Amino acid sequence: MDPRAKYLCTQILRHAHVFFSERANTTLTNTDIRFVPLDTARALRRSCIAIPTDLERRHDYADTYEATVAGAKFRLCHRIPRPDDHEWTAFPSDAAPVWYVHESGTRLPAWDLFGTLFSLLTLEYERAFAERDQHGRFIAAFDPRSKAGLLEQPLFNDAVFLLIAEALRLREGEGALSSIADEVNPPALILSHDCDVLRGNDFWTQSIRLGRVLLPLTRLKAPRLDNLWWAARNAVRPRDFYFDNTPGLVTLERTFGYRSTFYILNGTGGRFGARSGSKLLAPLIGAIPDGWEVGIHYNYDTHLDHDRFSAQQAELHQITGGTVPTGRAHYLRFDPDKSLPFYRDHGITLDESVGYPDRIGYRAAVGGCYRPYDRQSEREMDMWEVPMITMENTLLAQYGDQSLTAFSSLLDHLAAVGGALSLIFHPGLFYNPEFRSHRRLYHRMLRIGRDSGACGWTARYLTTLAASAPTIAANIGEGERT
Amino acid sequence: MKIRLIRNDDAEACNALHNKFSHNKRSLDQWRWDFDNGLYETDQLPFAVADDDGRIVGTQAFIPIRFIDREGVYWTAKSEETLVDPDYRGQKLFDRMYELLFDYAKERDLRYVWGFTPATKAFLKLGFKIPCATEQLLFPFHADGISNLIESRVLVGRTVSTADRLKMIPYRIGAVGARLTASAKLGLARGAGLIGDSLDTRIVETAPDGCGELCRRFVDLYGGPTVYRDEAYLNWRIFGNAYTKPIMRAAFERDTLVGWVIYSIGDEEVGYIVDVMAAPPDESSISSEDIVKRLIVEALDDLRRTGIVAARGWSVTAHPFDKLVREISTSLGFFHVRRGHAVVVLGSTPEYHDPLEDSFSDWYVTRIFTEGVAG
Repeated sequence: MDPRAKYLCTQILRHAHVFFSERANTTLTNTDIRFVPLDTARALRRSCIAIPTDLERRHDYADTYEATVAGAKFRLCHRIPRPDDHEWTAFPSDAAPVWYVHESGTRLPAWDLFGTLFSLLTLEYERAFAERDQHGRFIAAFDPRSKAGLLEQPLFNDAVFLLIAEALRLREGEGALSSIADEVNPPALILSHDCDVLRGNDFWTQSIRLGRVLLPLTRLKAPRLDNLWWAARNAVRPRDFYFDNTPGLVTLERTFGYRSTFYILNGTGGRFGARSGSKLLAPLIGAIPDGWEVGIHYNYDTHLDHDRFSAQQAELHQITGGTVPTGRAHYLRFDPDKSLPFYRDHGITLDESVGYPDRIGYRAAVGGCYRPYDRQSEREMDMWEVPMITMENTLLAQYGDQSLTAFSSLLDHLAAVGGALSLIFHPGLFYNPEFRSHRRLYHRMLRIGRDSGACGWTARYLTTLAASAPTIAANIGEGERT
Repeated sequence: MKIRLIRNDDAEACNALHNKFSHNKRSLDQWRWDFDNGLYETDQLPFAVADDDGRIVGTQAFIPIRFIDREGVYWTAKSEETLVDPDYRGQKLFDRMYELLFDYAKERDLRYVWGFTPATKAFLKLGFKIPCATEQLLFPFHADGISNLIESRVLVGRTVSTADRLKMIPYRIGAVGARLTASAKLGLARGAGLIGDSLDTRIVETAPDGCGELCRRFVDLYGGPTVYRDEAYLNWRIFGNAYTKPIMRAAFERDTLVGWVIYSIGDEEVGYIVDVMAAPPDESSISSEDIVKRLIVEALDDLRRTGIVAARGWSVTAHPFDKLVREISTSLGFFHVRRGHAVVVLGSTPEYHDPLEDSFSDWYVTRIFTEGVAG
């Protein structure tokens, strides 16, 4: 079997295992699904799902269309023309097809399911673009999916839902779609907190406040004098609204039955570094109870630098008294080619860095978790990625007053198609009168999660569930079967 | 119209009726948590329905709850789910459903029927007594939050005019004053010292061993009927709560459970002190006062850090422990606000009926007596 197809199949099965019922999983694994060249797929004459693997790879997303299946809406891209042969019909409609169905029972996706998902999940897609921002990052502004309105569409989750729906339709007939909502497990919120600033009186935080007072004057605008109050207050009580928010986050999550991961920033200081130093880290980690997790927030200057990364890890391991195999990059500095193998080489088994700092959305097209693809061995890596989808600042900057509606709509979609929505909330923004727009935002987001029936898991817990999935089903393959 | 007790296949229709008229989205699992939770072993739930040719148009339920007093443990019934479709009002459905449930209570020896309601008239007609109303203990964390909360109630559904804004000024000043007073009192109480090393307090994830035993000690010490909060009860009511996940902070002295405080956070960003209990054994060197003080301070610290607006608890009767909690709470900065819903109580037989009105002041009632939606 094509190793790329084998890889994608395995990730699909892992995802289905977590977010779909046992019945849906049984149907998926008992359905004849083939990854074959387009010509072979078109020539098949049997009851199966045939997924073409040799379509020309496209990195444009200008041509998208909306389709509705079982009441759920999908935006699809990279449409495949319907085979000329009149024996093929489009489902659900010619105008917005999801599948082409042959009289013999063969199903062909109406869009490049394999190529699109493989390219996005493995970040192969990003290699086609040379632009990087001042921090060396590929950001949403460079991603054509932003303009196409596809960044908030979890194409991988959608594809797995559509695949399961079609497998059910194939095996049980049209009526199977009416009850497919029962086959989708509740969505999950994957909660985490980047502990960037623990004291409100560090040099950089106070300088920024001073800048907010003085800079408007240079533009003949009124100074923001409230910053003097926040500077004075934190000068006297540095932990207020920063370090002290950690137990508050835990208490609030506890009242929802939710858990989260705290990413600890240590190592080099400076504006982009660990501004608060390392003295508060031991009490901070001590305040994180059992059931919540601690991860490493890879410092800005450790990006692809083995020595600095090792030094940061060594310091954190010394503070925690053990290894910390979970992490996320500070400023989301991430190289699509090198970062994941780099983390793996340093003993990181779970990373949460694949996300955009400038827009919310599904950078790797998935709301959930997957094992990254190793291009050299053409196999999945021995580590997990849980992509970062929403961050409080990005959400507010993008949606303002409509932030909660946008968040709710992401979660509603995942409730319909299955998946997990990850959310970063910085402790210093959780309950801090200096940032009024953030006030009570986290509580409201958790309420939206609870009202959607969402579970609140750590990334580690999610991957533990996914790890128990079957790796590859006997029926999924290529070519003729006997 | 048939008035009957619920059947297994009625749950969905009963829940739908509730959701239709209360504009809630209560799930069937939540309905089951309330009414079919297995704590009271029975082949017939105490849940009456008004059935109009197969359509459920009214409901009235009892949630069996065990009480404890110095004579032992016994069952009572909390009145819940009073609901009649407005199209069917005036047909005495409420009375007829209650008649059925009173018979049930007599047969099964559910000693008292009790509840909390703003609509007292219907209950009085059925013979219920109203011994008192619930009262609130309120700790303000944020002045602006409190005044916003008041504004949202006072000015609900109105376009806010300049006159309205002026009217709110006294509330705003009052909220700032209340906030400052509460903080100062809490600071002073903390400064005076809290009981330290001999008391181990921690958040527990399930009901710890010894909850039932503590309840026995409690009624020996303070008397009065109160909910029997044994492990099974707390694992249902608190740890298995289908709406929210209240936090239980338990206090141990040399591994013996000597008290607890249970608190939660409601959707309107107000914290709730759901329950406070303390009953150290005879040989203990710690007093109930010290245990309660430390537990409430720790609960306030926990709640304050979440950024909520205020914390609320109940004070309902003249029970000695209720008085103790009230006195400690007010010394810590809580305000005693005399506003709440009426308590309705009725003995299910004359034996329990007559002395009830006088003896209700012996009950120890906290928010744990509520349905538990907000904790």
